Amino acid sequence: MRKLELVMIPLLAVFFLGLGSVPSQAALFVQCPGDWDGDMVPNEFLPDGVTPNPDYNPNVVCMHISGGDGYLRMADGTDLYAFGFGEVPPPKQVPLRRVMNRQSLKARAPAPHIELQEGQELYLTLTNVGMTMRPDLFDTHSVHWHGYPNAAPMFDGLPEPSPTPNMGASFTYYYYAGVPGTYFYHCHVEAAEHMQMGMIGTLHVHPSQNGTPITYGGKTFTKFAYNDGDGSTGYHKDFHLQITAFDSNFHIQHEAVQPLPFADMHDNYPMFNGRGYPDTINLSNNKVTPDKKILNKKGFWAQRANSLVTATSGQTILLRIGNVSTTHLYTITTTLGVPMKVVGQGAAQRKSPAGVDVTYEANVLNFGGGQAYDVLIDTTGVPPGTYFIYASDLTNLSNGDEERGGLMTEVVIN
Amino acid sequence: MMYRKTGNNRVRGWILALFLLTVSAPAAHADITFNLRAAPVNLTMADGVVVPAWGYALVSTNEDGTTTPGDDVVKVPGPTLVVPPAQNRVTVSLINQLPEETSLHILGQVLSNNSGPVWTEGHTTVTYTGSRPAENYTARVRSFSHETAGSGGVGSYRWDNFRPGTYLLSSGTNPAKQVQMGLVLPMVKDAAPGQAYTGVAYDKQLVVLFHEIDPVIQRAVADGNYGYGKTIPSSSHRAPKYSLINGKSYPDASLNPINASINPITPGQKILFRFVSACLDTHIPQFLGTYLNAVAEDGNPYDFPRSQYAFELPAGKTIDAIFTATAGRIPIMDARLDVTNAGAPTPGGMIAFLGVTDTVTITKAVYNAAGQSLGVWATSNAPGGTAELSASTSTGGTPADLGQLIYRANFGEYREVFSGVAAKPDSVTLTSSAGGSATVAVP
Amino acid sequence: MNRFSITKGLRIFGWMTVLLLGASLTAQAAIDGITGTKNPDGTVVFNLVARKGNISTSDGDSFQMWGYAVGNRVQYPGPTLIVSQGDRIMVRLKNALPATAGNTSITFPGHQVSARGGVAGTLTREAPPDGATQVIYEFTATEPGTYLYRSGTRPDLQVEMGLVGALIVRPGGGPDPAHHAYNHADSYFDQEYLYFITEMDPWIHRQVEFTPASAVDTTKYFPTNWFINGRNWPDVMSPAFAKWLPTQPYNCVLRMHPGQKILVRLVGGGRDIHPMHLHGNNFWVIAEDGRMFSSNPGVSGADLAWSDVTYKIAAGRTADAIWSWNAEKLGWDIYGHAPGDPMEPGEYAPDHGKPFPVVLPTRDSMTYGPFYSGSPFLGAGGDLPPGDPGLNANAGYFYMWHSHTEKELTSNDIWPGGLVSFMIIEHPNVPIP
Repeated sequence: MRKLELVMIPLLAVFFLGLGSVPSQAALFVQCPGDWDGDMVPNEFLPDGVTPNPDYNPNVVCMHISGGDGYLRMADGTDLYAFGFGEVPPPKQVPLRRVMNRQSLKARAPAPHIELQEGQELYLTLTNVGMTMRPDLFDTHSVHWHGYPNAAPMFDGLPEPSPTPNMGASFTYYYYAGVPGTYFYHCHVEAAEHMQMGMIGTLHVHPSQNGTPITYGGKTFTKFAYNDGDGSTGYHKDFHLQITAFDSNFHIQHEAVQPLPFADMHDNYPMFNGRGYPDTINLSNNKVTPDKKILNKKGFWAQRANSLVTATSGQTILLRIGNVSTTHLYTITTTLGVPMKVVGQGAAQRKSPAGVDVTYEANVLNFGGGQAYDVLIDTTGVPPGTYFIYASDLTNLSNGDEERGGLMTEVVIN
Repeated sequence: MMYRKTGNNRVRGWILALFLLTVSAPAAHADITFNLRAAPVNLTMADGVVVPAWGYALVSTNEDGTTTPGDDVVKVPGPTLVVPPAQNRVTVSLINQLPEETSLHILGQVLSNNSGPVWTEGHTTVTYTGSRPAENYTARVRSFSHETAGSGGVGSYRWDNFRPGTYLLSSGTNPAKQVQMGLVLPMVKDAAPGQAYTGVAYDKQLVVLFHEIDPVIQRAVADGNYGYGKTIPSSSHRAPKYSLINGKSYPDASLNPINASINPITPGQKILFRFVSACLDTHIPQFLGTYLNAVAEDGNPYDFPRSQYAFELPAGKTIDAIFTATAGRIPIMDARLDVTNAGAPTPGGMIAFLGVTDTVTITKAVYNAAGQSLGVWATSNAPGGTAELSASTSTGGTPADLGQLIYRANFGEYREVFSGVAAKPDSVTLTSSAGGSATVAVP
Repeated sequence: MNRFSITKGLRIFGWMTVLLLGASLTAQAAIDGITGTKNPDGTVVFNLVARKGNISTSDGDSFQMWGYAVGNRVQYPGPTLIVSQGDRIMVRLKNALPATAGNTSITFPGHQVSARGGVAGTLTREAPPDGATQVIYEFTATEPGTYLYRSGTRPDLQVEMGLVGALIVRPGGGPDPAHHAYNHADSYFDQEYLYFITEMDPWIHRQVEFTPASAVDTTKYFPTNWFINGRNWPDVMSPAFAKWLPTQPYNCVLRMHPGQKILVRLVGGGRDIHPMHLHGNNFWVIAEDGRMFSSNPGVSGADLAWSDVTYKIAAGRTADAIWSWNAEKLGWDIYGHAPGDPMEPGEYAPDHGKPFPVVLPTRDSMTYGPFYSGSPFLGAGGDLPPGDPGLNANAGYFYMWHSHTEKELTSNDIWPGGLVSFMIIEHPNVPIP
């Protein structure tokens, strides 16, 4: 209890000194222990620059995300109304009193990515900025870290056994990143609706073994999916391919304030990292071909992740593949000709309790919703060229009714 | 293994063309070339409905310089191509008689002479080959590799270091359209004679390929009404009506039993099932009454076999599983219950039977005149009483059905005492549901 | 800003609150089912009759269905048959379905069945719909595990209509077959629960009710109702054998103490594949189709088990998984202890005394869920807002175990419904019957 009070004082001080506090804004706040200058990074020293900050914990990582609505651009040009988490800049950049307005219609797909090292402690503040296009709704939002081991309901994001933030309020989740792996997070309030509408993001926890060179299979790695001890989950480059999908009719009905057609839900816009093919290989950002960025109908860059996989022949690629569709299972394959080796799933290394290696190789992998696999691809022997990662359940190679799209991305081996 | 057919030796123009192509290849490797023809074909469903499709025919095979003709009959699925264990460089030469370009693609093998892929600029006919132009984010892939032009074009696809296992060869061009139309065939290669993988021995093998047909989409493709801007713009509303095993739906004779081509099977023999999914949905072949040991998937052997009675096959998956043969009639059915022909209320779709004829022995037949009863004792080598033994008699040339015998697990034998038998029969015959039978004279 | 007052270490004595909750949260350590009657020769006999009946769905609807009945009362799913390894099982089936339903039969995947009586059918022997002809299926339960049984006649329709059930074979060896799934310590559990997953397409049931069954085209199957043990959410939380669900006797309410091991027996009783996601922790999958993942079957136990947090239970298949939870590496003390407080039994010591890490917002900033106790701590309650139903009087930790195909969390267009259940981890002082 004492520790919390100490944290409180610097935060209150910032409130009164720098940002101006208005009682009605009290519901919006961020928590970042040890951070007194509002940049969401703990400060090692007190404002005098010399005295060590007693609240400083170098393992602390802070993030602020918003839960609200927005628009996404599908690969066939269709604009769909959506929900999503947005990225909120630190209070130092954007005062808290401006967050509600600023984050209106700033839903992102995927949601802001969370990258952690084993042993870090994440303070994730979620602010419910309301649904601008649905002022009749007063839904809360939540963060469910899918697969968090030994989770407690308070931070599990299920609205039934926990409190969730109302519109105009913030809730800070705490996660000790104790177990490395590939995870994802999503809103769990009225899950069928909020997840269909798109509140989904990716989350990685890197093992403490990272940085130690280990040789396995003739290759030396310093990056690993798990604390394997022998380098068997080592990789040179990693990519996350998160599968989400929309049922366009559901989104159209939602925006039109109609009863939600749950029984008819049938995803027709499957996506890797929030986009359908060929947008999956669109590399545009603020620096690279910025004029070709995929903007939503409000001109906002909501879908910032491309799914292009690149490697040099001979490298080992780690693909973190997960499915978070609310209606479909998807089957993924590649044209690389070399197998995918499943070294982990559900953020657990494929190793039995008896310590037996239960990894396996496959060319085709089927993903149910909620499943994430860690897949190693050894590109030794793959000639340079362009290859494809795509859904072998081929009807999903569509963007709505448009053919030759959907769940596909490219792999460039040089 | 009946995959090479002798017979039709007519030399056609394209055989000569392909022969020239293969002769020009360097002879340093162990080489095998399959000469395929892709062409439209009409398929007749189990309910008589005719559905247009695109399939493959094996024109001929050339192995280390020796050519053997194929039957050159276009089929869906195409004929199984068997790569002998000693061959490691596989070439498939293709004549494309389809109305559009096509290509070949094997999930899980590295294509060695790939000069593709081929993209189109959006949905136009402008193409790019080999790599996507820089900063072009609108091109969409049309073919995973180099293309073979339609209307008679020829092409060659080569895989050096062909790995052992069970694979699906299919079109790599607009796969949602062309694979669905039927451009699929199984390819198998053993690691060594009688060994599917190193250390995985088997006696006989069966390829079991699953696929589905949506007749509405296939007719649209055949009529040119499928694609961007057309009546049916994509496969997103696909709704298959037919479910097939090796190109047929139950109750086709080829599925009942499915192992006719590898008979006779002796109990104890290891039968390798090579399951191949050419489906777009997941299907789950389920065996009733036995377990198999799964030993590999997608051509990748497991460290340890897995004992299971059902095998989940998502789209494109192959699974190898070994059945240690027992006598008996074993149903194999899709556990997802796609077991109708276009929804008709009779058994159809993905049902097949594995039939190993049992040996029925009548150990005793005793007629009791006072009680007017006939007692029959018998055995079958089908395990666990899974065979149904039905008794019939012949009395002065007149047959009569008596009914089923009851299996007594404690004794490992069947018996029954049939009452109401007015006169002593001359003989009693037992007919087994597993195909065996026996007749003895009644003393 | 107001600080939320955290009551620490408040222990509520469970037996008083169990009375408040009523019988509705009575979970059973074993699985509801029937054990048959034993013949003098040791054969275990089950008499089943296929009958027409009705079930209720959680959106307030009801549907005609076909199910297996013991006696006159049909149930969905069929009765869970519980036997022991080595038992000789005899299932006798009669068909009292309407004439338009046609013959029916039973298949037992994973078992070598000797069938007799009735008429020969495609997959096995069948009983005509005369209510009298008896078909007898006999088999020996040679291996322990989780299995299913379902119709082998026009299964695309009859399984969908409800002619399915579970079969559990308890191990024959070892000192404690009631707490082992297989003959090996790797399969030990404190409690076991059945997850029999099915779906229904309401349109098919309406068609069967009003048109001849032969007219139903099952290629148009499009389920919009999903069931765990024959009920959808929230009916799964009602007591087993609830009088208002006479044809749906089984429920799904899971309760445990931290550190216990839970056996989850998953059965794919329908036509689809469902990714079952268990909040709170990963589980070890130790077996599929009634066979442990073993490098040396019969000797090495489940030494090839693998871990995940979501399992795809496939149509026609079964799986066994072991789940546990002990708050390891949470980073704060789940009991709200001060460092000097005594430990609870089984408490994760390294987090003992670590403070709750965040400040909670004001109560008017939050919406409380019905299963929130008012406190983040296990076994501790707190002030609840007026009108809150207070459905967590034991202050347990609730975890939703559900299908991750979220569409399946609805009952025919109504949210919430479908494949939802809750595992409740109770404070060690709370008795679990």
